[in-house]
Amino acid sequence: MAKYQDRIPAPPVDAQKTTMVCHFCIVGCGYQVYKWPENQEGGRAPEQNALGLDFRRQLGPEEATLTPAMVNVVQDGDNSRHNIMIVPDKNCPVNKGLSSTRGGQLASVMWNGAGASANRLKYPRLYTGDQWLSTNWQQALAIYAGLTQKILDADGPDQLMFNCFDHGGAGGGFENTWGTGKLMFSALQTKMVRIHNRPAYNSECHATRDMGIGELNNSYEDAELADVLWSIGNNPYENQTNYFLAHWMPNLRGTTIDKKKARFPEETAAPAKIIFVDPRRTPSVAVAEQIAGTDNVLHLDIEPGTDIALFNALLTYVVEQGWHDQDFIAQHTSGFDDALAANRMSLDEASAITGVSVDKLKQAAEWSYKPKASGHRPRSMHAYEKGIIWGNNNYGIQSSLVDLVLATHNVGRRGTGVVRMGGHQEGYTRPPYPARVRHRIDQRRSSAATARC
Amino acid sequence: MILKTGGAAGAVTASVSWVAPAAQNAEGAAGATLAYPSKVVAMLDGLTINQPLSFSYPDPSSPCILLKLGAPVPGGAGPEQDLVAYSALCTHMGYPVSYHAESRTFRCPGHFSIFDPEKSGQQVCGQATEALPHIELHVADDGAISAVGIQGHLYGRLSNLL
Repeated sequence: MAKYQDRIPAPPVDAQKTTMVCHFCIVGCGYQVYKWPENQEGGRAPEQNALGLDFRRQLGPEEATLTPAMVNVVQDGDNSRHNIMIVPDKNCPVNKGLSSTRGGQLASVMWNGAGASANRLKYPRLYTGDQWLSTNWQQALAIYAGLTQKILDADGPDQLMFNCFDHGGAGGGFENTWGTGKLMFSALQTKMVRIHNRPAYNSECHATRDMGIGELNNSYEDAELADVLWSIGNNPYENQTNYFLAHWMPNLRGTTIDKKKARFPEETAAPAKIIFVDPRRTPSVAVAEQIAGTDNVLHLDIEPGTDIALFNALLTYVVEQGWHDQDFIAQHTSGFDDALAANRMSLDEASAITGVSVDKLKQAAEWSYKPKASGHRPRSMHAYEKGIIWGNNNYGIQSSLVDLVLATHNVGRRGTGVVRMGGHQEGYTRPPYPARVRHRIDQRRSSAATARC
Repeated sequence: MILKTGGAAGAVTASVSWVAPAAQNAEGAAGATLAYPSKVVAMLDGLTINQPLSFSYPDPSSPCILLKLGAPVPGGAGPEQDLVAYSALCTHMGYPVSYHAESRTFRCPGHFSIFDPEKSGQQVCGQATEALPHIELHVADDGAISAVGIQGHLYGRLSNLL
């Protein structure tokens, strides 16, 4: 069936129905897939279509999220052709029926040999005679293996350099990373490998790992329970859309207060406030203002690269005010006094460095770390992403953030966490990286172990 | 392409969606398959520039908005080629969009998608996968403006005609 501009085929009641996780971004939204033979179609009455919806009338908001981008025709291995419809899953606790501009196009990107998918690579390509030509696997492998053998014999494995992807989630991450790892690390034994977005084979979050907490230490539900949400170098409305819309937005609107009261019956419960650390005024800042009102949104629009001054000043100020958790520090950290002394910075100094007013710095500290009316320590969740993980100073920035989080016990409690938001979904498994010594890059300790994130 | 800025409270300096809106035929409903009715929705001399006028098309349960933009736009109808009309239901999840005259955008309160009436209803920012459906208009000699067809898919229906 052709893809009409102004109508969509309904899946018949006997359409094959499966559940899938979207394979675009990290959030992991649930979608439902309907598949049925081409040139068949369900009816408009609820008992005539697999969606169970009454299409004889106009449906209301969120009742039927289905668009032309959510349908396509695919061809199976036996050349049979089928309609597919991929729509958001209302029963999935991640997206709760929400669709993003990425997942909303899962059906559109399925291969069917026409449209954009006609460009898919089917054969190895060889650059020869000043142009790319298709070739067969036998010739491609002969060239690849022959050249590799020559380099190995003459110069050894470290003259073989790989620039590779290293994850893939639903796109085949486990299989692909294991396969490439066996080739690079087990068979060829080169350590000259860099990952798609990094100059080396390392983690983007080695500071958080060295400090013992890693980068994933809460659940989506904690964003519904937090008193304050921090978004640091991160643009969640655009990049983790349904995590933001399904879990942050209800908390900002105050619709999770009953859940907070049930979990923490003695604590003050209010709609969440949100603090952005970003040199840019992102769409997420504007959307948060629409949701929560400008009084509940604080945008710390720091000068690029001044994050360490910001977090060190907040650490210093919090301890001066006595808002830190001394029991937690005593039980779970070491060297706290040394860290405090080494990183001491006044709000005035930080204001001069970051370009953010002292008033805003104090406001952020009071919202996030000053005891609530009930006397309880606020539950502040610190979410971060590319703004502090992609940069020459990511180790120092993450260390200063984790210092502040540990001092205020904002990890290991519900409604807290200091976490990456993530980019892709990641499925990863590889044999160990073959280097036995750590490399020094720019005089900074750099993890060249198997770590990645 | 530079998309319309000043989106949600003037936030976006340059938000470029990686999604190309579905190709649309500005000359007519060549891709449409349905027998659309013709319905007079307004008179030319009753319109004010940049002031939205609500109507329904092709039936009472499909709210739409008519705009006279004051300058020619792609797909614009009428002697000035500045008349456009769109479905008022967001193509993302069906919440009613409203027209923001200052930024000349349609905004959705549900999940904050923004659409541009001067660029065939394409999404400026947000979560939709489709442009706002464009209501085709015909202007008669006496100034009667009729809706005569729809390019794009109306939210909440299998077919644009119930």
